[in-house]
Amino acid sequence: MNNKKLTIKLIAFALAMLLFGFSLVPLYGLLCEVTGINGKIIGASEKNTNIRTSTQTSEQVVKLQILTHNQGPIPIQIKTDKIEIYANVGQEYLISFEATNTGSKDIVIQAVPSVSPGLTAKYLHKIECFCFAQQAIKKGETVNLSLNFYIDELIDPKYKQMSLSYAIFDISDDIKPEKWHQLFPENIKIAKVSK
Amino acid sequence: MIRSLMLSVFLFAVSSMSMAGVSAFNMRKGVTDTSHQVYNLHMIIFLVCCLIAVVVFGFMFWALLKHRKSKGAKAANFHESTKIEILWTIAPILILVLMAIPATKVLISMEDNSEAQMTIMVTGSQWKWHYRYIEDDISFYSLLKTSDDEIDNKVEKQEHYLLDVDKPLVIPIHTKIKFLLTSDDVIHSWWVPDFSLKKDAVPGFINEIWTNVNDAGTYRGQCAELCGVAHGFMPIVVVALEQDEYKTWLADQLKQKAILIEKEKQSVGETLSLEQLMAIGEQVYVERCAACHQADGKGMSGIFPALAGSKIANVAGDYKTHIDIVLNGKSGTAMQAFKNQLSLVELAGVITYERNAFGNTTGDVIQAEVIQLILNPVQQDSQSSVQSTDQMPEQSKEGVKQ
Amino acid sequence: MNQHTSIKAATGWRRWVYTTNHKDIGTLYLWFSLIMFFTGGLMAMIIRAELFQPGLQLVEPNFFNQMTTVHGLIMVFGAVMPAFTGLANWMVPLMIGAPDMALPRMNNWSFWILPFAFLILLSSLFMPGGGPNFGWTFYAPLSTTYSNDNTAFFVFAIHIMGISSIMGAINVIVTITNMRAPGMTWMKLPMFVWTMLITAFLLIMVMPVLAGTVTMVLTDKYFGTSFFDASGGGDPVMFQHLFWFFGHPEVYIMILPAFGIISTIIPTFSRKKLFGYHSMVYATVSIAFLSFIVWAHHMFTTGMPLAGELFFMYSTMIISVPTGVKVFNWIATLWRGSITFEVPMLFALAFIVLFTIGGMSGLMLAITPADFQYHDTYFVVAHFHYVLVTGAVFSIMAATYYWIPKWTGNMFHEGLAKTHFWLSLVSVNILFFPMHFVGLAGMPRRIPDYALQFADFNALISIGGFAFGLSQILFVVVIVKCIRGGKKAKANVWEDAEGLEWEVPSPAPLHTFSTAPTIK
Repeated sequence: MNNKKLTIKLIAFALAMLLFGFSLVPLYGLLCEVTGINGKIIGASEKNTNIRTSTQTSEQVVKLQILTHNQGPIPIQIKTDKIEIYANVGQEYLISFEATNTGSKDIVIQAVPSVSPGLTAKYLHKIECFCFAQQAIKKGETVNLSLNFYIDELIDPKYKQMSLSYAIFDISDDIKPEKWHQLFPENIKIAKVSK
Repeated sequence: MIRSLMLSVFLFAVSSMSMAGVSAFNMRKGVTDTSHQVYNLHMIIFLVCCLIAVVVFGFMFWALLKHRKSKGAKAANFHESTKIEILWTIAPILILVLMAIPATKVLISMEDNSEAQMTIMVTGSQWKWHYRYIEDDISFYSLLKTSDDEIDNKVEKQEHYLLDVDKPLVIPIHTKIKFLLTSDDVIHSWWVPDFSLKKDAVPGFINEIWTNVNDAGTYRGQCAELCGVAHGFMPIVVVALEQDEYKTWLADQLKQKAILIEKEKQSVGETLSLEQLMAIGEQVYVERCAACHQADGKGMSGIFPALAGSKIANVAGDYKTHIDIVLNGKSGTAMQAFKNQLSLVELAGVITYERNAFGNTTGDVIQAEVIQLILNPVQQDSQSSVQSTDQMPEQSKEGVKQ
Repeated sequence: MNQHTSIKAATGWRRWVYTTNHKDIGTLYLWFSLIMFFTGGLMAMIIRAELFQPGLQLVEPNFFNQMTTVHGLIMVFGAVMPAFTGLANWMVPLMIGAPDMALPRMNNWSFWILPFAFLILLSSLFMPGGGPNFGWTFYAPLSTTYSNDNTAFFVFAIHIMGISSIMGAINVIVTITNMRAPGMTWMKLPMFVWTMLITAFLLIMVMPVLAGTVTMVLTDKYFGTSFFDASGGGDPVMFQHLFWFFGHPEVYIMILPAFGIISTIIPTFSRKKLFGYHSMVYATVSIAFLSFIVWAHHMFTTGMPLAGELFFMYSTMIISVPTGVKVFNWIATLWRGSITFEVPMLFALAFIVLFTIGGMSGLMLAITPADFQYHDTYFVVAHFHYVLVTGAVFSIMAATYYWIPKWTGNMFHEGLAKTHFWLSLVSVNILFFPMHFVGLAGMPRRIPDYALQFADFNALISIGGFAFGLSQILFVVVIVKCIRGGKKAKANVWEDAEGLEWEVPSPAPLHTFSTAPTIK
């Protein structure tokens, strides 16, 4: 092989490795799902489209802690009356939250769920969750948020405790003006000027 | 005679150190079953490494002594031996397998976080720890207690220099405690050497560890992951109490919490003078703000903005943004939300101080009730919860005298 | 190769800027590396001065963090890697009987973009806001959302360094593949050439991943993407996976050429052939391969499932097998040799002992439960400085003393060189050995101030640090004296040294092996 050919091949190889570097991003998502890193699964913040086939419930009980945690300084207070529930495996539960904006601005939040132990993440199925969508909360307003879930029958019986934690992020800065208009029709100007 | 005396002194020193479990040059034994296992594992592997080193370096130094040219050594001619190559590939593998067995055992027991009796959520933020007792609804921040003067070598350093906090985490002994770790901003790492616990606090995600402490006492650790400017200044102090002492502590905490809520209500009605607020504010500023904004309010260029002469802190009457930032912080920066960290009076004091110190001349006097109003506009808006909706704006005008 | 004729005419600065000659470019790389070694070293002195006593004396914590960060970046990308590239440039063509590197003009480029990368990096230290202060590992989100506005300079500097390394690596691979003299079969290649070849492959595999990672940092910080931000569906822990996928092979990029150098020097001064040449080659290849499946051992505390922890613990432990084979082979080479202790040999012997100590603390770090205690403490700092300073840097010094008579035509001052060795050996151990103790006793790394129980050891460490730093001035003195004159060196400088490089006169003329030598 002459120098030029080999050089071109090696450059192509280096570029392929660059692509590989970027392709590690989706691969990592896959890795998380398989191994339970960070207790997150692909599309944890999207609606689950799989329709549930079995509705068996069992005697097996998992103590589930449901926590919310503001990610840094956000004037949002989230209250729920059920921090801990003893959930029968297979049974559906509805948890409701009250979120209050105590700040002086309208805010859009995104909740990001994380489950511990990480390997149990794939057995916690959310049928409906406020984390599936961005939540717009006007200043001073209180909104109701809900979570509807069940724990899969396939979960290993050795897991008797789980924690589900929602990290609440303020994503107001990332909202485009058009979107902002839809979310807060009456006060577009104030919101955008302040950003 | 002297020799045996020295030997006994040495043995005494070693044994007294190992009894305390604290050494200036070795890992601590710690106070949990896990930490004992980890310590033993560490010592086994260390000793195996020492043995290997003695054998390998023994051969090497033998060759260096005996096979040198100056001693008339003639070079032999061998340079390959498959047998011996296989031997010294297999032998290390066997040693490694022997090491891996106890390591695997310890690891499996460490990761068995089932059946915890209580849960504490640990949140790292730049640069302090927050503890939340999930079952008992208590939460508080834990901050470095060491004064700036000690750090700047102006006064003598105290015994627990950099390893002391204003409010330690208190836990009961003989109880399996689960810690859920997360972070508000960057990655931190919660480390208590005596419990053999170290886990990263990752923003947006939770991590889980557990411990079960055998001995009552005070245990100190530090943040172990570089988390910014004051990474070296966010220690962890855990006080482990006997179970009944813990119950007393818990009851006391709940009582204090109730008192505090009552106090906050009272402080809304009080009006303090500029001097009083400045005195409160200065103290808070030195403890909580000066690390970044500096004692002279000039900040650090490019990283921490100056308060002296700033638009936010030095325009008379225009205090809303200032209060908002102090209460709610500024996302994407190191500025935190102080609304849950300071009392209303402290908040009022520090904002007043910032508006009237470092050459700032607003003359604004911010009272606790102003903060209260901004903090809870809900009461203002919703019809049912607040009695005197109409009077509120009046009061807030009075609260700020220019 | 017509460009060579034009070079002969060029003199003064033009000779160096326009050069496409492998020896000149090698020299440039080596000088650059030396300058960077002192720049990074100066930062280490600032760090050690601040840590001499508890309390803050000299620098602000923010500046301290910039020092630890830039010290790491400069030593890795500016001192160790260019030194090996420089040695490869000088020695690989001489060792394989080639007239020059295969791609001489690219060679010129890959060197000359390097100073600009470091100018960009260092200049950010003097800008408002300061330079990078998030550690050389630049974990997100400290390096994205929470970093200062000059982070773009850091990112571009890394990009340029990466491009330079990739070009250099391509050159090495093409040269070794295509330019070997007739009869120089793969299994006759000198060990140093083998290790450079494998290192070059590692470089073109992982430097692009690093480039991708810093690009993600750049877009996360400035263009609103969220690769590493949970609020947008990203994950800060993914940063660490990407970084260490580069980072662990990077460790071997910095140590494999050192293995090659030691495997060259030990036989020469034992007057005996290298023991187990074949197994040395296989061991190097298997270390390179294993380096791709151990990365997460840097991240045990980030929270991994048990299966992951076990996998990375076992795979990391296995690396000590081929590494052990190398050490055993070196000792077998010494065994029943006819050993003399010239300066390159002294450094090589020190390498074997001290690198083995670093390897053993590495094995201890692989044990996951114990790693929870060691991680991010001075124990780790001690470990990687044993591997990189008494490992990589000592091998570079050994190589310099070994080949400098060939480069300059003069022998170096042996008394001064031996003094340099002994001062370095003693001070480097005072510097790094006590770090094991403070680490085990609980001192975290990257802190500008520490608790009182660590004070005594830290003072000792700092004294060792200053002594080691000052000792290196002697190194420069020896080099400069050797360039200016000294006893004339023969073609074969060291009696019984094997290799084609000893068949050309000393100093090696600008053009060698214009006609290929014959290999027995």
